[in-house]
Amino acid sequence: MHRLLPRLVTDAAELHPAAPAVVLDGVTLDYGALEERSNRFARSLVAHGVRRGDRVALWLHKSPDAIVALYGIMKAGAAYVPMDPAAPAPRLAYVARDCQVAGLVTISDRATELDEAFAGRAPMRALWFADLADGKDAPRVAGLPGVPWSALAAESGDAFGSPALEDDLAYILYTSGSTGEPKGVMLSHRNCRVFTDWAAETFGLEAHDRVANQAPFHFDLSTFDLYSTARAGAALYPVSPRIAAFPAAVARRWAEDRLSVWYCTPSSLVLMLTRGGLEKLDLSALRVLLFAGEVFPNKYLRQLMALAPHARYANLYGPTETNVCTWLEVASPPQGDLPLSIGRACPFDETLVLDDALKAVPAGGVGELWVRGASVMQGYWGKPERTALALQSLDIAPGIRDRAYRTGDLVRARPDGNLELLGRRDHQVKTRGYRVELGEIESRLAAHPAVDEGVVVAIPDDEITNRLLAVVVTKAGAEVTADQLKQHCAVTLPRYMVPEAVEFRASLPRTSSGKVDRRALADPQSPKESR
Amino acid sequence: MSQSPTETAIRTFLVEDVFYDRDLKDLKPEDSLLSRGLLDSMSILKTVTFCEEQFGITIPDEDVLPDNFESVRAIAKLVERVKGK
Repeated sequence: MHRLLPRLVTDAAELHPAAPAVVLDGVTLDYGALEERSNRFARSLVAHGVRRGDRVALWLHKSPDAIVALYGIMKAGAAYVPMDPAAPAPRLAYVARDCQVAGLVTISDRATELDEAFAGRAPMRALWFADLADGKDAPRVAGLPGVPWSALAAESGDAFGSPALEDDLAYILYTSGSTGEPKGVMLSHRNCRVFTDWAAETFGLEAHDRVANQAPFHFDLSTFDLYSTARAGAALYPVSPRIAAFPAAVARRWAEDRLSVWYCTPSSLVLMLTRGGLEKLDLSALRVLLFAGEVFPNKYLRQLMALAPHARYANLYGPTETNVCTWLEVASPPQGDLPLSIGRACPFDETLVLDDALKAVPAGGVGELWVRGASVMQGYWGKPERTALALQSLDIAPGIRDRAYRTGDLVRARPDGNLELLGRRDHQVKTRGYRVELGEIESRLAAHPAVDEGVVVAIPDDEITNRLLAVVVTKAGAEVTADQLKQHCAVTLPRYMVPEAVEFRASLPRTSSGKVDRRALADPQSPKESR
Repeated sequence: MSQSPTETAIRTFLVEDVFYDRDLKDLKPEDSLLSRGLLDSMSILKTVTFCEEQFGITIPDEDVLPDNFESVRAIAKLVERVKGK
């Protein structure tokens, strides 16, 4: 199957087996070894009953073995389900049950929490422990066999004929869900490759490029890093987990390693600018800088472009459900305050700006952005109703209908045809590049016995787009502290979704229609009541 | 090894205000915060702000590096070094 994602590694390994595929903390895995080890892992998965169409979760920090694992899973014909390594075990257990994973790749330190979180009933057939490379016995979790990484040595590394087809799922990315449960966005090999092949060509990636990988694997920015890089036979430099949280350390490492292609969220680039000492570093190797996930504040983008004026810049846009679907080449630093547009549709997709009646808005009018085309997801795992709301059949042209994805983003086409983002139709916000449904946090708050009503608002922030503030009304006579509520949230939510601050009020402000007035809550000037 | 007052203040802050979602009553000053994946970028910014306010210092951005945040002891050393400047 020529268009499967793991085929990229197989091809690169044939062409130049000794070329570095992954470089991390001084360890280099070349394409030959990546191909061979992922073949071994695919065989181990199959030996434990993993079949075409199955799901296998990943819950571990970045390492060369984590990359071996995701290629091995796809070779076996399964879809990988990457989980935030910092997510609490109950969230991993929820996802594992939601999409009924057949296997889990993790590390042995996690065995006890996993055992507790699964409480004896786990959907997997086996677990693989990527840290057990020296023949140590693997722990058992929920009575299931654990496979140490050392066991892969017994499998053959020869070419592995994948049973998968291009429209099979390659991975499922879980995103925040407004009703309180994360939802799994299903993407096929073809969905991914139309974007990653296009990006590799458009930005001219070549075998000598050194590509940064900052995004975690559960974040779709990582697909460019992994697959556009592999397509070019270039070297991927994942950020070491040890330094990932330190903008100054990451910036310095990237400059020292002379990385030529960076793809990041504006939040992380802004932190490198404001706290990372980027201005003192040698950025002469930087050739292509791509960003996505948030609006890049003009003043910071100007600073960045002044530091590396020789590089090529592009703003990429797209929700997880479409991966990147529009793009804008930023040929010169933005002037004034007019926010950067999200550009136009990539050649594999088409954008539609529609009103509530699903009719095209007149030129220059505000409407909701819909996207159709080859990168659009297959749906949400196990949620046909949510899928039917998000993917609808539309009149694309007279007599022509196709399925399109409703982004929830309000846009307007500027006179030059580029699309301008104007906001959301719902309560989804971005923080540090992560997409968060405020409703998911609110339903967790409401599950606390002392909470009568809780609303989460996004307070705009220059560096990280938004900070999250919870505003809570407690039940009569109930006592709870801000820390206790944050703790309660952290049991099931990833850390970036835990509100930074909790404010207690006697009541919530209402609009004339009786809805909670979120605008008043997010306004720092609005009067605050104390409890 | 005993704890210095600086270490005690930093440790109390971390256990109560940063790692509120974990049970770290037994955290020792020399325990690695990084190898256990305890610190994310948000926690680091909070810790820097705490140290600056608590000890009346300004920690330069270029000192916010993994080696200086390896453990409670390493953070305390950083604080003492910046104070001494």
